Amino acid sequence: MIEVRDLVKRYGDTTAVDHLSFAVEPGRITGFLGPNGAGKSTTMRLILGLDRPSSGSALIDGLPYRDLRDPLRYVGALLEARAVHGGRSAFNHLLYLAQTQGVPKRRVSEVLELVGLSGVAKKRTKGFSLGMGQRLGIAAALLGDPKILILDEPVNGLDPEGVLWVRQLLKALAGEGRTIFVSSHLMNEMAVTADHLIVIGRGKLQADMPVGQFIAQFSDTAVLVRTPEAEALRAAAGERGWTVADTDLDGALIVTGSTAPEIGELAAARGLVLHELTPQRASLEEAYMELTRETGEFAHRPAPAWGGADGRA
Amino acid sequence: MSTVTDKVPVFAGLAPLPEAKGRAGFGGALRSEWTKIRSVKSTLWTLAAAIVIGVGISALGNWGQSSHTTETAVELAHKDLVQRTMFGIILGQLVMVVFGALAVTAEYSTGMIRTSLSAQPRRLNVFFAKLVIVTLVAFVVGEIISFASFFIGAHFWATKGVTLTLSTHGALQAVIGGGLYLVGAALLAFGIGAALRHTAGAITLGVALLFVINIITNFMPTSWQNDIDKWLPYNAGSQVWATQHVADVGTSFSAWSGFGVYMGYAVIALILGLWVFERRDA
Amino acid sequence: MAARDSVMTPIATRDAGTGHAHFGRLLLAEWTKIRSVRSTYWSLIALIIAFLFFSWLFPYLTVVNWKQASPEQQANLYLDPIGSITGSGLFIGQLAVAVLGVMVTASEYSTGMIRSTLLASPHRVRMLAAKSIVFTLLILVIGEVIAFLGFFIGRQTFKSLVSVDLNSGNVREVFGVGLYLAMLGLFALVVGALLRHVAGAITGIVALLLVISNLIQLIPGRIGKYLYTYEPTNAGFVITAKRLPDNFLISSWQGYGVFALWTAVLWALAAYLLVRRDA
Repeated sequence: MIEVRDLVKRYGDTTAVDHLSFAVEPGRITGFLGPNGAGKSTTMRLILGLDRPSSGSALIDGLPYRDLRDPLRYVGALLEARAVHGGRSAFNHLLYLAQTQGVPKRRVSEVLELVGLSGVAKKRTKGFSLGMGQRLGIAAALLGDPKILILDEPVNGLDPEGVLWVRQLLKALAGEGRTIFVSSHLMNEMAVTADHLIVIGRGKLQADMPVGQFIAQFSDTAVLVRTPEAEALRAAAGERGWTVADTDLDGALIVTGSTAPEIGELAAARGLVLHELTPQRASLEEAYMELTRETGEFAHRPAPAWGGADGRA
Repeated sequence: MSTVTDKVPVFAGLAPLPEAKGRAGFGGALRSEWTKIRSVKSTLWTLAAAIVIGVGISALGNWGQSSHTTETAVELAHKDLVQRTMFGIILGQLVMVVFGALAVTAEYSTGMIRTSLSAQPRRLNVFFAKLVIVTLVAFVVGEIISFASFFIGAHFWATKGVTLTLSTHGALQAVIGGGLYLVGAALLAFGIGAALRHTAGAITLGVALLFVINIITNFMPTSWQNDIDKWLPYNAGSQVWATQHVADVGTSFSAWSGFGVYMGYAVIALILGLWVFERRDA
Repeated sequence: MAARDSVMTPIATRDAGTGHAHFGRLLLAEWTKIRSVRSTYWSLIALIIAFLFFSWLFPYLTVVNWKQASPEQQANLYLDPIGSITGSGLFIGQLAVAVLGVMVTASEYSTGMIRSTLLASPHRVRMLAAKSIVFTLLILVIGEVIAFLGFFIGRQTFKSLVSVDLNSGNVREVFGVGLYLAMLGLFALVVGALLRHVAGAITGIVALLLVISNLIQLIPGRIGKYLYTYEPTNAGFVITAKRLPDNFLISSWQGYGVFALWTAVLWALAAYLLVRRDA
């Protein structure tokens, strides 16, 4: 488990991480979302002990990263920026990492095989493509068979087969009870991978909840309504302050700002005929865009109470 | 596919670009190289350090020597005090080597060379634009160092009764020459940097040629030193910032022929560098 | 934690080994790092070839040109034959060692590899200690080997002019070559760790080694002698010399101690900053 408690990181005048608190639980995949510059990578670097927090703490099963013995046996990490000497072969890069942890040499070959880099193991990493570099980073993260994985944009630059492989790998590892903390900007990938989400904006926590709840909470509930009396329904909905939009479908409307039961009750009260009443499921992408759009607006106001996140921060 | 190249929609909110002229020419390359040099903090630091260190060492050294000398004004007048005022150049050339080498090698270590060459695929343009900018910048910095050193040093020697002005015999040429010498050091390193494409390697080789080689020849027999010493890059080049052309061992070149030899080494390095820059995959 | 059904099979969990990171492993890992990059080979080959070549070349030139040599040079050879053998190679060789020392630490930052390193060994001081030990020992061993090889090459070359034999009085000069190079390598490594920038650190060390150490001589008076004597590389270099320079205030071994002290102080500073600074 990863616990971040009231974490703050300032670089001069800029506050990259602003009193951030959350926990990443084992046994599930926790997605870490936020716009560019929100502080995701900084938070990960703080968890990994690469940067010192200005205040607060980030603990791995109760210990700061720097106090872990055999850290790679505990935590495997993939950082966004390259962390490899281009003049060294992939094999030797993993070998020295393995040697610091007492991991046997054959394990190096095995993880290289696992990520599909056996063929270029002896090549200098300078010539690696983005995807190959990414595979090497994943191999390094898996080297110590860690119970916690921290991955910054793991599918960045991977081919479709690689993306699928990472997704399946993460799910399987989480299924074994490991802690998986993964950042990504690919919402569709996150929607099918993550169980839980932590969203930050400008260094502050915006949301910490299961994916389903996130989508429900941060997207407008939209309902598809099909009725032969469209104009009457439109007028009735307008009185209630709901928004009604036309669709390409004949006689079908999209009502937002309300729920299916409310619309059904309204129609019954007015004696309007309904042919269809279907709640529309928003995507994670839509919910995320909605949240971050609002984050952008709120950033210019004094911090408001924010549903979902405010109670915990 | 329809032809859409004639009327490309303008990005929302961006003003339309002027018509592409179809040539990313030498003028554009020059401007872009200038922007590259002035927009990187480490370059500015390097150059500022060159000035501070060069002038500072000159000032310190001349202050020390002038305040402790036991020689009379007459004896001192026979020494090459003009060259002595600029002796910070010895350290300044080291910073110039770093500047010249980094101007090329930083492109490779950061991977920026790929951006540079996709913006301007005609490599000769890139190379010569860079060369022109490095030369100009090194010249300005070099002349600042030599002139500032000279005037500060002259001030110290004046307290010993020796008047040094630019109209002193050979002084103007030597002081201008001090800056030129530093340009040569930057160009030598530039050529080596383009040939080796490796920061540490280029600086090391530049330093070996300008400093270490002089120490090593001290171990040679006198007869060899007589023939070889004046050809060493430092010994040849430093004549251009001297008013007297005598050597500890053997003979010495005159100011401009020495400088010619010195620049010859730089030109050899530049030709090698250009050849590599033009031929090798970026 | 699940072991048998791990998705990472065919990699069994037990293959990841057991036990805790201890210092021996860090040493091994740093050794792997050093031997797996080309710059190490380039620098060390340059050092070995240049040193051995010059150990032969200058004695050879001296022998061939003996009749034309100045009386001063002839006297100098009889007085300090070992200096004539090792001196020139040492001047060029020290440059290779200094540059390599800087690269060992500074290139971790320029490549971003420092992040991998610190994830694997978050005890940063221990990592620096391991790196320092491995590199210093490597240079010490190579330095001593080439020092004695070079000495024997030079001795053979000089045979017709002067016979040079090792004795308790002069063995320090040969042995000192390796000692000096090893300490210089460590000093450069520390400078690289402090500055975290390859070009900057090389500039700094070269300026000190080749320029400032000499220019200091020009500072007049007692201050000048102190500065000259206690400048780290000057202080260290005398371990290889038969005679102390005129303006040198302490003995050879004291000088080497001064160099070691400088290195130790800067090492402590580097360790402190390594722990304090963000990677």
